[in-house]
Amino acid sequence: MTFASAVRLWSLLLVVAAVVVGGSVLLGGADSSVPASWEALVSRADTPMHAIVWELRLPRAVAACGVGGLLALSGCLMQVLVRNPLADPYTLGLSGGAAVGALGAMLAGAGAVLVGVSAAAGALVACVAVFVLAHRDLLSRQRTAHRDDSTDLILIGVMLASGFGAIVSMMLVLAPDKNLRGMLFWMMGDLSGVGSWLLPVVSLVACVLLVAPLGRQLNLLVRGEESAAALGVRPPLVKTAIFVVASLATAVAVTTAGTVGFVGLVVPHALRRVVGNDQRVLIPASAIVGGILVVVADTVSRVVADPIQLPVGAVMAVIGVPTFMFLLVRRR
Amino acid sequence: MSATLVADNLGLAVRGRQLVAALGMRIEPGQVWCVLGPNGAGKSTLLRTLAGLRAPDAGRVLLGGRDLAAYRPLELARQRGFLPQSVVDTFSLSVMEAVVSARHPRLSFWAWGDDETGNARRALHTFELDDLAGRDVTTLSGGERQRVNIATLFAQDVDVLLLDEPLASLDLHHQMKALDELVRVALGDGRSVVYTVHDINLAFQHATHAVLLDGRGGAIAGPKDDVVTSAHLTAAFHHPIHGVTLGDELFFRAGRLNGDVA
Repeated sequence: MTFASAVRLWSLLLVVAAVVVGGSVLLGGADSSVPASWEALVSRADTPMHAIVWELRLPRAVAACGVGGLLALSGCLMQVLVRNPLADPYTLGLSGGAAVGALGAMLAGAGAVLVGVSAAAGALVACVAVFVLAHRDLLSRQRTAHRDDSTDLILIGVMLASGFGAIVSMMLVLAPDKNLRGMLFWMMGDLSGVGSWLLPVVSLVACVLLVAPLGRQLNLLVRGEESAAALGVRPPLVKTAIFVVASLATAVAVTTAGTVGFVGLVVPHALRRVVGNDQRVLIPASAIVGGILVVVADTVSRVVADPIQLPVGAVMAVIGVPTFMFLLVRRR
Repeated sequence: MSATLVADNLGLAVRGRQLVAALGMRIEPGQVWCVLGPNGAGKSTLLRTLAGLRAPDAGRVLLGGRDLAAYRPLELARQRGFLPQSVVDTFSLSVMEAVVSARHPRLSFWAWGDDETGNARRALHTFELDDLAGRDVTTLSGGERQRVNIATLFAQDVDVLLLDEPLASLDLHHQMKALDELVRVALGDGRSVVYTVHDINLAFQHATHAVLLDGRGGAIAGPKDDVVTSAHLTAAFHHPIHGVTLGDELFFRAGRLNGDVA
């Protein structure tokens, strides 16, 4: 794909993203019609609807967009890193680590900020654990010739995730009743109480700008470290860079929205079938489409069972689990 | 600007086992070197060390008089190319994309990189791959994939070509074709070629020089007629190997294990 057609694709996706965010702002429960929302969006009158649209729906949609983009980007990068299409923050146990951190903070009675910080810390600890265990040679220059450690990595991720799952169950059992609901919602992904709604989008743009110029090197890395090294790529350097970006992206996403699984898996996979596996095109496209998908999922979770709000993570899992199964089965 | 690749007192060890004690060789432009030796003797290790993909365990490797360790990876990639024993693709990409990717070292950091396909097309044509240009590499047969990998190396357009088992899974025609191309770029364009191979006769016919490793520290390097002899081969492979002259050509054949009569 040439640069011009890539730019056309990204622009098209950006337009779709804008439309979806707009749609999400206009759609609400049964008691708010689209025209009423539109009027509140464009007028400056200080009505309750105005507040709902500008202070609840818009920040929520923008945050959802950023979170989705970050998760998809992170999934995309991890798949390059371990050369395995099944890698994503959720399957590698990062979300589990974040859940342990966040629920621990909630148990200790911490406020929203501290919960966010410990979620991010949990994700980063899990990340480091996964890669130290599986990629002992992440930074070393000497490595054995044809070692394929991506299976190790997935297995370690799965084991870590179930370990974290066990810790989470214990926390839930020990938790006082008043905390339970908040903890459950956090675990299933929840965008209703978004604090700093611009943070995910800003981080997303920063991450994409940081990673996009590495596209050609990532393309080489996907084909194997040794051949990439022979073509002038420094695998340890590039891998470390994308590892750091992927972990930070996950940490920001998890801090904002709790555990939302499968975005990092579904989006890059679906896009690969459409635009091919050229990382130069795929990474920015994944970031945008991830945003679109989570905004849609969040809007569905908000509207479908109104006045009850479903957790966005559960809606994503309904989409994600079949995709993951399909991927696994097709790989044989 | 062809450069000489020199192994200076090179020692190789894998997991504490010494494979090569002290190897000295000078690979000049226009030479074709074959690397021979039994399984696990360190042929691939030698090639990867010569490519600068692993540090020597003793001694050094010099390209154009400069230690490989002092090169920036990109700089090195403009001068030497390396064909790994196998390239396993987990994600789909087209044959053309695979071959064009070898142009990476020639492009600037910010370049998008699809502008220059001339080299890639020529390389595809050389290895009779024109019809496969649009195919997904993960759907190719082993031999086709190997030809794509060799074409990729040619598209890199380098002075020193290092190939680990380039003939693996190729049919006879394409084995001869690949060897012929390697000899052509060496003798015709003044590049240098080093490859590992198991077929002693093919190597002997398509090389100017040879390295013979025995896997226990011993290594002989030099013009092929000095290195590839019945005595040396028999000692290195731990198996009787005899030279037979057919027409004007020297062939080597391994003795049968149960009472050979050659």
